[in-house]
Amino acid sequence: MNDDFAQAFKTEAKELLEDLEDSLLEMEENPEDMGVVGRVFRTMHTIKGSGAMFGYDDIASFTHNVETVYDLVRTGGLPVTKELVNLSLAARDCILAMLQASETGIAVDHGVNDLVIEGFRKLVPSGSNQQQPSAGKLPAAGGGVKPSAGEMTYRIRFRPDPSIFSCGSNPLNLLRELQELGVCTVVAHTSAIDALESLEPEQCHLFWDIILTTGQGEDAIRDVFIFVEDDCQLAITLIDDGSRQDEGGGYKKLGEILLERGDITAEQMDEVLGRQKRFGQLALEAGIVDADTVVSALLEQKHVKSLRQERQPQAQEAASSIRVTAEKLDVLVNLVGELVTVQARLSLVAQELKKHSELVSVAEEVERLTNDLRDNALDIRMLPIGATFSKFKRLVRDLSGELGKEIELTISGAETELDKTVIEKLNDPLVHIIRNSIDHGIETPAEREAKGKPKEGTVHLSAVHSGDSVLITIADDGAGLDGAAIRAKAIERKLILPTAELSDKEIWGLIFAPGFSTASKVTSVSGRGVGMDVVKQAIDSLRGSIEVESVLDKGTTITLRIPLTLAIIESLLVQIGKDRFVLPLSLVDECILLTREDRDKNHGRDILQVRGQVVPYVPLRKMFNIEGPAPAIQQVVICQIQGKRIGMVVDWVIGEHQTVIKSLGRMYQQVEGVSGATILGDGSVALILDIPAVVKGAELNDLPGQHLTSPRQQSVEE
Amino acid sequence: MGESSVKISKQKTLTVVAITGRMTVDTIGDLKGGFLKAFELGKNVQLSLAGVTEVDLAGLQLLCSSHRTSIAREVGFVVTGAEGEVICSVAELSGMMRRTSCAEDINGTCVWQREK
Repeated sequence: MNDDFAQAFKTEAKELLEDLEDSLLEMEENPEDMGVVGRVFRTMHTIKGSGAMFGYDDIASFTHNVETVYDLVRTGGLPVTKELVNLSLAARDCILAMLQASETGIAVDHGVNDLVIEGFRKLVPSGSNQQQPSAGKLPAAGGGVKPSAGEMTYRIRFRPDPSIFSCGSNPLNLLRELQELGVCTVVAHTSAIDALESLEPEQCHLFWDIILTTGQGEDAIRDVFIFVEDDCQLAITLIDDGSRQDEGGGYKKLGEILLERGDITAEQMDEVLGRQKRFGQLALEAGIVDADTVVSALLEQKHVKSLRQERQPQAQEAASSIRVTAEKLDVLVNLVGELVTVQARLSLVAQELKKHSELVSVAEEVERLTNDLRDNALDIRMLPIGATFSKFKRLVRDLSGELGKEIELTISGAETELDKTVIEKLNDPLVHIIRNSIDHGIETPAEREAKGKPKEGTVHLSAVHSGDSVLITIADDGAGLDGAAIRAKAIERKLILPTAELSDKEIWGLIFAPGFSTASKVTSVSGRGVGMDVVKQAIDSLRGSIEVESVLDKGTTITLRIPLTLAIIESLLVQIGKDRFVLPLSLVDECILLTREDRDKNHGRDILQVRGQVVPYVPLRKMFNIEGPAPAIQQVVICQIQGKRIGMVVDWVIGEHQTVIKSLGRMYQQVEGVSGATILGDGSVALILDIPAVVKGAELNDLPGQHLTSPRQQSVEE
Repeated sequence: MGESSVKISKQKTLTVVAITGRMTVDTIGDLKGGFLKAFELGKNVQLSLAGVTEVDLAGLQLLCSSHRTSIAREVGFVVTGAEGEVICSVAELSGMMRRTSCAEDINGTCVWQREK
């Protein structure tokens, strides 16, 4: 099998499974909505069909069983119940496991699959006409799936021998199998049925025209008739190859269809057309065809016409978008990054050779185009965060069920776009935060009622753009954080001094300390103290920040500020000695001068007064052991970190800079205070500072409770 | 196998034919005989299918044939009890259900026509 096709199937199937999860959760909320049930059925049908097509027989066979049940649901034979949704979600997980097994080679637990199918089997009423789900293979018709490109429409004229009943064949079974192949319009011709006196009742006097739209090819249709091919006349004609849209004229004229079928001759058509009436009526009046034949042809016309009309927007959609692997986009963004670096160099050279005005003009033009190219390339990787948010619906549903809580997840800002790589890295931190909200935040229904709150708790997920960042908020209306308990725990763990005066924000910040948990019992969901520090690390690695607000018994709101992209950032270029460094501009508040007198005034302590407020600072020259004398007047870049203003002392601020982020490689991954590097226009390398890590490093070199951790205390001393 | 019965009740202006059991190829010969008897009484015929437990293509053909007989003999013909799942699902699957009736249906009484 072609690996590309197999890969395409897996990618598509995973997307379908994501949609399926959404549809199932929607179905649970609106069990009467037959539109959603239809969507679930079609998704199962597609997975089954393409699974069989690409040789994933286990997936096709398993999905066939689920599809069978949904066929019953959509025809009203089975109600939508919680049990059905639970089983369907479990079935979705089984299909995903089978898909992943084909990638990882880890064997699937068939016991689980069989249990799910057994569950579905119990749901189906025993008197139902539907085939019962079974752990076995697909039935013959479904198994006759062959590769084919897209859906095609066939006209099938099936005229069985009158003696077909006595051969033990039942044409009804053949019609049923055809209907399983796709969308079917069936017309029975009854004109050969006589009145009772002359009727031979054990003979078959019917024949059929069937218009079938299927993706399974003509061979699959012929397979249906394989056991009766000697006892019937069968004509299969391709009437629509799936490529044509409705071009205004609809499908063929009725006369053309009848002529093509051989029901009338060209002469008869010409003669009737000469009378200028509706063709069907004229043909009937002329007695050249009977009413069944006209009805059958009209239905063919209607079937294909509506098919082509439906296809029109899909075809336009297909033409306006293409599927590209994420790796190709990553390569493109990397190349654009290289180009931005080279362009910076070109601009520098042009500046140095100012007298060549033409070169300057070309450099400016290249700069403009490069900026456009950079914005467009980054924009391609932007994805709405909604898909990630939707995944949490299942998490909330399952966990709240497990913990006996009633929780609704609401979402806003799902259309907010973020870089694909950022979204991927956000998944785990968000899972941790939501799990914590559900386990520790939202109370049980009884506790909530006792507090006068609605029984059902709410977790609200929202995303909104804010400058070059996105703010992601996870808010719950639960019990809120217990400041006193957090403080007591922090003192017990010697994270703070018993005398330390901390603001609410600083207290909430303590929950991000490694291993910190105030939970009295450990559940399977959370309480082990593993989580929030991992969340903090993950958000830091995205160069984001995290803020907590909480009111006891009202709820907790956690806000993540995440940069839009990880590839290129706006930054501030600074110099210390001969070395240059880059600070992310999103963290920078302002730049001020630091004179020798300022330093002397504070008796050598690393603090300064800015408009009456004390701001601690980190002398980067000292931190990075850069030799040589510092200039008499240095500059302080004041950054905002978790609501605190902290200065970074540098020799000179060079200015704003477009920074293409390069990783430092494995050898330097453990270097603290540096998150990457960038190549400057002159080819030299500048390190990108990881400001939160720099501050943390400075705090470690200090006594806890002193100026960096508690600027307010300093302010009091002043 | 073969369990079915035809009960013919003569009323003033109507002959009621009630079928119970299977209306399938293995019982169809007997059913045809019963139907013919009912038509030979010369009155309008009401066919009650409420007791039918199974039907196949032979059964559907017999209904069509009865309808045609009524047209040829110019007697009224009404089918009752055909709305159930037993008859409807097979009629739908076999493509008998239709929006316009057949050429023989001169008085618009086609058994299979929906939305008359």
